[in-house]
Amino acid sequence: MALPGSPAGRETPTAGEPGIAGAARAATEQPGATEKPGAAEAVRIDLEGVGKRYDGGTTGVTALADVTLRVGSHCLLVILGPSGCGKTTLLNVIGTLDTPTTGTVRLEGVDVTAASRRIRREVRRRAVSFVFQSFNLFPALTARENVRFGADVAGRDRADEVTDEVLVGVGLAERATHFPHQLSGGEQQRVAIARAIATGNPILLADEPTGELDFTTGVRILELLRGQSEQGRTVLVVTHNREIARIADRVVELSGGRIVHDGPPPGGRLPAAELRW
Amino acid sequence: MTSPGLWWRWSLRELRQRLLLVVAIAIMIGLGTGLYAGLTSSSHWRRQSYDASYARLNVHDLRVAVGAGATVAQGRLAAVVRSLPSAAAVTGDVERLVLPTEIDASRPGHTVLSRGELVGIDLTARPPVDAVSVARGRGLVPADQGRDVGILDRTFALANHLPPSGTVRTSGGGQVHYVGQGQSPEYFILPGEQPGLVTQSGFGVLYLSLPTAQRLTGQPGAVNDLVLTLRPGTDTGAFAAELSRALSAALPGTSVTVTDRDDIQTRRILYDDVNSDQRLWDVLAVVVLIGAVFAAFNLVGRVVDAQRREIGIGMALGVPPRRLALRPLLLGVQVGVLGVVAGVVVGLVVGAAMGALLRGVWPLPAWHTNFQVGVFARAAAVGLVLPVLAALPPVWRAVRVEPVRAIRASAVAGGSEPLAGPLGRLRLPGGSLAQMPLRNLARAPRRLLLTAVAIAAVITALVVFTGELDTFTRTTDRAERDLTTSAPDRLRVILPRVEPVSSPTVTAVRRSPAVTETDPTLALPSRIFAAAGAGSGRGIGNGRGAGAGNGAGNGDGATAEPIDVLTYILDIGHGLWSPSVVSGSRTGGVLIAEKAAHDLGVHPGDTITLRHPQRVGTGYRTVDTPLRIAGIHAFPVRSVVFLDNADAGAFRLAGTTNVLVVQPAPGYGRDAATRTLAAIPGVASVASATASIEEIRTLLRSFVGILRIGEVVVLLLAALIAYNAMSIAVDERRREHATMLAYGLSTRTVLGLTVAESAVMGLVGTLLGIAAGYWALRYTVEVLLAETLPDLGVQAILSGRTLAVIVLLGVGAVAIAPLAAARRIRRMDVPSTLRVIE
Ligand SMILES: Nc1ncnc2c1ncn2[C@@H]1O[C@H](COP(=O)(O)OP(=O)(O)O)[C@@H](O)[C@H]1O
Ligand SMILES: [Mg+2]
Repeated sequence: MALPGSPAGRETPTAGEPGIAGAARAATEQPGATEKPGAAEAVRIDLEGVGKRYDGGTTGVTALADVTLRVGSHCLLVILGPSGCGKTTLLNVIGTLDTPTTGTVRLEGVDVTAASRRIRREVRRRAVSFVFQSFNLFPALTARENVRFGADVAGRDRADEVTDEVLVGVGLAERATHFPHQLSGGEQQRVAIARAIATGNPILLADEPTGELDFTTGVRILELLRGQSEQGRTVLVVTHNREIARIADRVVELSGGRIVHDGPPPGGRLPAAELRW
Repeated sequence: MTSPGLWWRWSLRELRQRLLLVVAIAIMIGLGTGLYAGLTSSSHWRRQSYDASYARLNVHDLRVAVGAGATVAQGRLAAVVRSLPSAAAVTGDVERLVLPTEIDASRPGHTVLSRGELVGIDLTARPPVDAVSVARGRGLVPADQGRDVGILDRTFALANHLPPSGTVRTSGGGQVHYVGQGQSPEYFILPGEQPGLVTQSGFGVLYLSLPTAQRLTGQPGAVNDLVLTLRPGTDTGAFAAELSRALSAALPGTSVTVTDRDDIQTRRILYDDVNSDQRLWDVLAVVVLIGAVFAAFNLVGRVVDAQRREIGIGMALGVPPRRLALRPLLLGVQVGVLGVVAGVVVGLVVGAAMGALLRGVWPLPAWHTNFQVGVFARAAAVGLVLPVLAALPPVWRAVRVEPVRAIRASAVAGGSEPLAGPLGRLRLPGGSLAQMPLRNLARAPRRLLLTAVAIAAVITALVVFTGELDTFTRTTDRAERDLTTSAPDRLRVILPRVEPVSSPTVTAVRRSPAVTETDPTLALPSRIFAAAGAGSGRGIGNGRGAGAGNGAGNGDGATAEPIDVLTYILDIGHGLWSPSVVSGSRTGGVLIAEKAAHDLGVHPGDTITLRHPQRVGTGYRTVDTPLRIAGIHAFPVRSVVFLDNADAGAFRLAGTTNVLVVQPAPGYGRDAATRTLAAIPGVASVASATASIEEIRTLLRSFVGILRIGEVVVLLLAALIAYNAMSIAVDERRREHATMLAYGLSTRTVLGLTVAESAVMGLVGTLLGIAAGYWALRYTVEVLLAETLPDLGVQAILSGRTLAVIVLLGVGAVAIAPLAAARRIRRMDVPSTLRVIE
């Protein structure tokens, strides 16, 4: 199933690719309505004073407060913090699933803060892809078809070849025809990552991707994500595990919805194989 | 471990969350039980209303009728009754003069001309027997004796939209001002011209004082009828025999018959119909109930399945299974209680519709349509128990499963193992999205099956209801086509008695400027038996013909009951119109109806016995003549028999006629020709060629009305099933939909996938339903209807149009149901949905 508006030959994402801006313009059908794409070419994710407040019942909850963050390509960024500090909220705001109550969110230079549903949908199709803690694979589809779904949604050409390449890349070529319930948790998460990769989108958002996995399996998943950032993607991994943070190029630590640390991993970077938790 | 209060609050909170769904399931069950309650109530209503109506008008126990157009002096019949040794048993007796007539109730711009009867009643007799109720206007009082005032039959007046009072003309130029509309026990339903059929607009009864009737018909001081009632406990049979003997002694040379209450044919039709109708309603209600039950089973089961995880967690926490089963079972109870409420409401609505229908189809002096406690209690019990039963299997499955499995996030809702076999691997051309709908269905085969069966059950009911309507339409159309193969605007001039073709009346008709061609024919009441001598000894005066239950005797000629018929003797192949045959040949014997052949177990070439009048001198006697069946005619009414002039020698009626088939002259419209011919002295009435079509329609009217009520219920049910199945499916797919939306798919695409999936489900269910429905239709038509309407030859048919509508509805309604969830999907809080870890 070819989705409309698919840019041809989008293989590996590179900085400065006009994917989102083009998608946004196509969606609004108002050329020039968006910001100049050249202005922040190297910066894929640009948050400026982002806050998010939930008004639930009598007491409101501040999930994010004044978050300012810029992330470029070739970067594996770990968002670290205890449960309830706002990590998932941050990821959802970046992924345009959620809208901030204050501040602005730019993806590849395009302001998506108050963008229409349609533009935000286009952004998710063409710019960001999610990997969930509980995998969320489609149980009725085989591993291969789940991966193929990613390619289809993003409207990629040569979807079949892309799918096969990605499956080989995550080491599941043999399990292609198996259904999710026939796969282990780690295998399911690899399929989920493959699905996100197959979209060809430059930004990968993974919320606690190792949360339901054992140590060795978790390491494999992290190595996979690491590889993606090395190929040029921007990969955001959310975790509450300090040890995992050590594989990152950069660690952003949240506490009560605020950034309390932003820099290289505390204690220095480690290859995934040397992690212990 | 926890207080019952918590469980109750928990359950109530869940109910509030799922209220719409629970209510929708409850309404489905209510539709099933309510339809049953409503239809069954109507059977009770009919029986008690008939009883009350007959009692209120003091229906006769015995009727004395002087035959063959003869009359006796007023007072003679009453005198014979009073001279009997057991005369003290008589509680009331009334002499009457009952004669056929043409009733002309035309107003400017509205022609109403039909055959009918004048009933002259001795208004001085006390108490009245076979009294006349008055629904509009006033009744007759002794002061009306001899005046040209009367009461017009209510059914006839209603069907012809006549005003509450007005003027009607009778045969022979009489004019009567009717001062009211009313009914008398023998005319609660009006006899059709054709035995076994009934009419509403085609038979006008005018109730008059005896002197008025005598004057209008030119028979002063004459009566031909007496009705009487007997003290309760009197041996009616013995009294009748005594009366018969006394009558033949007192009136030698006059043919007089004594019949009892059970011989009133219209009364028998009313009561017989209740029983056979109820069997049909039972089947239809059960079909609908099955549909509702399957749907309820499916839906309650799926709701409980959705709780499997919670049940698993509970088990992991060591909660005893009985405790865990309580909450989902409470859901069943909730559905049941609401279902009972819904059933009562639906039952009341269906009952109200039935009541209105019955009053319209059979206007009676008394209609008692009270709430039937017993019927509703039974329906309520069914409605209460079913949902609880529906919750049991999934609860059972849930508490038996290993907790680990239940807790696993990927546990498949629906509980069954996904199909990993060929169906699971089934690949469509196209990408992952194209695979999704079919794969989703294949993933949970049991759920697919249950839902498809629920849809199928409703489609089955729809096929039965609509198919019966189709069948009726086709039967009527077939009859109409057959009657209009030639000379479609011909008229039938009916004479009061058999006359020589050279009689003044026949000559006058022949010479009337209103006709261009005249065929003299005969229509004679007779009776057919399967084999010579098979008929019982019942005389012709005893009108008890073939009642319900004929189907049982199929193919067994010796036990098949005789059939009362009208034998039409005409010049087949030469006259204005001739019957066509579906098998055999047109001459060389009798032509009987397909239904008659079926009921008697005979075929063309076989011999049957015809019991018919035979002329001897100036009178008649009844003889049995064996006759070869030449063929089967195309007319769908059992009581129609045709015989070619050349084959009718046994009647010894050559050169006589009692029905003149005429072709109206150009320039004479139907009404003008009818009026001109009816005015000819000696003509009883004039009917159109297709008058019996109205009689067939009238016979079917109550069925058609009830089928339409059933259709509405079934359509509602179909809509609810579609909505519920969708609602649950969307709920089950919440996470998948959220994932798709997170990946940037549009709401429209997500909906499209759901629609495609529903459409496939709808298609499977619809095809199953059509197959089952056609079978059920054939059963209800060929077995049940054959008993309910023994006089009509009906064949199950499902028209192409109906089939198309049903497929469209079954597939369409189910397919578009997800669109009702468009808002729910568009408004979905994707982050929260994905956050929920199930
Ligand atoms: N829909 C919501 N309504 C109210 N509060 C919410 C909602 N979603 C998240 N929160 C609150 O926002 C805070 C941050 O949540 P979240 O981003 O999920 O934290 P984390 O992922 O770091 O565990 C938490 O206190 C949480 O309770
Ligand atoms: Mg989180």
